[in-house]
Amino acid sequence: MVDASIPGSLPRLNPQCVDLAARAILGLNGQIQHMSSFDRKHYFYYDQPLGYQITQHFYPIGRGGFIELGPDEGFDRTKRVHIHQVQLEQDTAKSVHGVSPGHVLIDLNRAGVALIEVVSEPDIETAEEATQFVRKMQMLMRHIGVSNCNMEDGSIRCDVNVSVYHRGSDRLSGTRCELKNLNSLKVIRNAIDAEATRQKNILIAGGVVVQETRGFNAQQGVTYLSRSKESAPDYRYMPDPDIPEIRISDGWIKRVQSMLPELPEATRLRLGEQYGLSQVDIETMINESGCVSFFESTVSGRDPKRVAAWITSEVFGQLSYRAQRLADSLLTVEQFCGMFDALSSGLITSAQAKQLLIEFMDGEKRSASEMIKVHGWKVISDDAQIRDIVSKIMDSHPKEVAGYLKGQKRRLNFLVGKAMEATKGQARPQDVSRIVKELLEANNTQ
Amino acid sequence: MAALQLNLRGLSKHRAMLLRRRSYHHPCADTLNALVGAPAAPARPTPGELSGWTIGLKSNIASTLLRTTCGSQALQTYTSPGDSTAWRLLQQAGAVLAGATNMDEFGMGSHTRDSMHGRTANPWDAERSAGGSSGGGAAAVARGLCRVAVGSDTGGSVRLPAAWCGVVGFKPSYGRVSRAGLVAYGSSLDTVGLLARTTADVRQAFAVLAHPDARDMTCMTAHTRHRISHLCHTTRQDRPNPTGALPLAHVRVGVPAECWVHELSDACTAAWRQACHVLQALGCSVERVSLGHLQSALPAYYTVALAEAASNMARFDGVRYGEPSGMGVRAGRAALLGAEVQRRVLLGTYVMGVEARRRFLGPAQRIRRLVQRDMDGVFALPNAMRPGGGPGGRGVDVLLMPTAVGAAPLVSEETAEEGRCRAAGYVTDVMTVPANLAGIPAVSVPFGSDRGLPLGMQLMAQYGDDHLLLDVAEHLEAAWAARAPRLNTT
Repeated sequence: MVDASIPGSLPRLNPQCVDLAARAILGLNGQIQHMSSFDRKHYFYYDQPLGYQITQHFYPIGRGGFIELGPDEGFDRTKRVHIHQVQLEQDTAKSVHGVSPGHVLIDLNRAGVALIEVVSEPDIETAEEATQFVRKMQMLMRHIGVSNCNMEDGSIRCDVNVSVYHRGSDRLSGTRCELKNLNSLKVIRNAIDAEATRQKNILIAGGVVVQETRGFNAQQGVTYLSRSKESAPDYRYMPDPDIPEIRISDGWIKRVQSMLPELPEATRLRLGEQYGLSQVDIETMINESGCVSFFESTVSGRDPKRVAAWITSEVFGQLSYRAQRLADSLLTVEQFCGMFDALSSGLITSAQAKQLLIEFMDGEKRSASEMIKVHGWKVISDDAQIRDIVSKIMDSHPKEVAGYLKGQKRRLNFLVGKAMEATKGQARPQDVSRIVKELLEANNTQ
Repeated sequence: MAALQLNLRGLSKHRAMLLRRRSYHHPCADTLNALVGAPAAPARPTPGELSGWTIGLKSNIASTLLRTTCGSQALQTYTSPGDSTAWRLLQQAGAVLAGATNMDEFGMGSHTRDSMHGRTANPWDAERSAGGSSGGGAAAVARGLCRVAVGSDTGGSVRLPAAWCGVVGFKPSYGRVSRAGLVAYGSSLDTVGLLARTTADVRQAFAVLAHPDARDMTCMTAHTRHRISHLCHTTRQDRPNPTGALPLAHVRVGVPAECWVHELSDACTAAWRQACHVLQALGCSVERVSLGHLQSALPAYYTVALAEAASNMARFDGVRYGEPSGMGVRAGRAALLGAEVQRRVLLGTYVMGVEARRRFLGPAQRIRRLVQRDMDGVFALPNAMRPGGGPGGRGVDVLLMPTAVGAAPLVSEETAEEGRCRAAGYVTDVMTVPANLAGIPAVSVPFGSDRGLPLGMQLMAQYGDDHLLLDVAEHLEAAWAARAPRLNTT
């Protein structure tokens, strides 16, 4: 009822939102404020049924903190983008365009839903930094479970302030323009470049940049005026009398802290030091929610590099084929370990291991050992047996054998392939290859 | 008139009144224009603490049975999708709805004159003001159209009409009764209040309403209520026990010197003196106290209330409520809202602006804190929200002062006076607003008379001390009841 601003309805603070904001602040290395409160920001707009937005203007819930950009994000040096404040506020209603021609429909279901606004300091200097900042913010918030941060769903949105300055003068001497409603990383980058170019051209021509709010036309790659400073409203901020201030104790902050997962920076360091994984594998795993914990629950007693390789190539390959997230996958830690151990101890071949993985991810509930029994798989590891098979293949393909002996080395692959076929994939390719070579050499010397 | 003779006094008459009501169509008619809407079908009384009690619900308190018009054209066809917490609790206790009571538009007025339903007449003299903004409720109770009226009190809107219509009007501590479903005027000042013939009825209805409510974050939690009652007990545990002859021997009464304003009528001054004597005779100690910032309370009140009002009224932008004007927000609101509401919204909008905030709203909020500190400085009971700093054992328990500076004025004179000076209309609230600024409970009981018109005497107590306040009010009311003039109901 608050969504539709029914007369007599009162707002109620959802404690879960305070909890998520607290996580976000800790994740950004900021300080949770012991006292914060809510204010009304007044303006009339069709997506704002109350006539004001409940926000935190005077006493936000979080202050300070930073996000670090460095080599991991493709920069030469490491820099910090500082956070000014983190505040809780109400979302507006969603405007739906194009459903009813000539009308904008208003979806009030989003009105009054809480959102976390993070305001950065003016530390970002390039479009690339801005893009990486947002990307890193997404990763961080996903990692600590604050939001799925999907830009296409609007679960992360950003407004960007752009200003340029003359070389040699103060970095903040320019006049800023705010770009609103940028809805993808690519759009953010392009809009900033377009706006910076526009402002540079104005300054080069001897003009003055005017403070205003602008939108971005992605088709034409230019920004356009949406509201000038003159028409910017006085928001008439007023403490909201309906919501008491939030008081937070040190004990509560400690509890939130203790429930927070390890932050990506720390995880990254640890995965490198503890397991000796490559940067590529670490990045891949960190960016998939739940992956690091999956890795760590499978790695004990196994070769960490091989486990990581199997996860990042085979498991991820299947995930992307299925357009699935690891968190939604049906593969269990036990199944993965069973499969991996069977492979390591030579009970199955890697082709069979891959097939098991597919079955598990299709929803097979049985364990790896049960499945190996069901398939009747056993690796032919007896050299004599393989030699029998290979001899038969060589006998039935004398042309290839002769060709190899004349120096056509690629004939080898053909023979190995035929032999693998004959073993129904139950022999290890390296064994087959070794024996084929052995027998060919023996032929040669005869 | 013949119809009205049915409802003189007593409970059985309420039943008769309800039967009579059936013959009228919505909006129902009474000669006072106190009730402005009746439920489609009268409810059968159900068992409960208030079984069969008839309730008048102010038009800004939501129920699904009545239109919640707030006395405004903007909401003239509006029925709430849900019940207010207050009405839900009363209904659960077995009460039945008599109808919606008239009010000044959105509670902005002191005479129940500025309403889309027209003016409510004072039952003692139709030419006089019923007080406001809960004037419909006060008149309905005085006439016996309902046993209890639920009103709202932002700056005296329950107590002033109670005083002028000769009934009891109670504004509880802020947060004692949930505001959920009360259409907001000044959210930090608004309280749901009660009007009835007797303090006993008020007390019984209050017991039903005073509960925590998750729908209102400013409503006291069970924990706070418990803490306050413990505080009340420990503060007064060493006081003498009341005896039959001196039932209020444990109570200390303060008389604020600053309330002795020159606008006070002679009859009012006399009644105030007499009330002091009555309380002394009942065993109270009576002493003079000082509330240094009382003089500034009225302008501070209007600044804070109007800023909050402008904010709360922002939702009535002509898009969702009222007939769509197609004229945009500015013209649409001008067409939907009455002159007084527009005036207050404009003033409130002004004081919230960046520049005016520094000059008006900031100082007003500081004065509000000073008024609160004044109150904490005279009461023996510490303020449960701001511990420390009180006078402790030397303090008083209740304050005694008139509810208004005189009896109900003639509406014609009042309107003419406002024509000369707009702010004149706001002076009627001078005695009542301090309680709202401080969030403390206050009650007006009929005491004294002026040329046949009733006067109201007001008691205030520390935040949370509602029960002691009602105890003292009950004795004061009883002392006057025998001598009180009878309302001529024909």
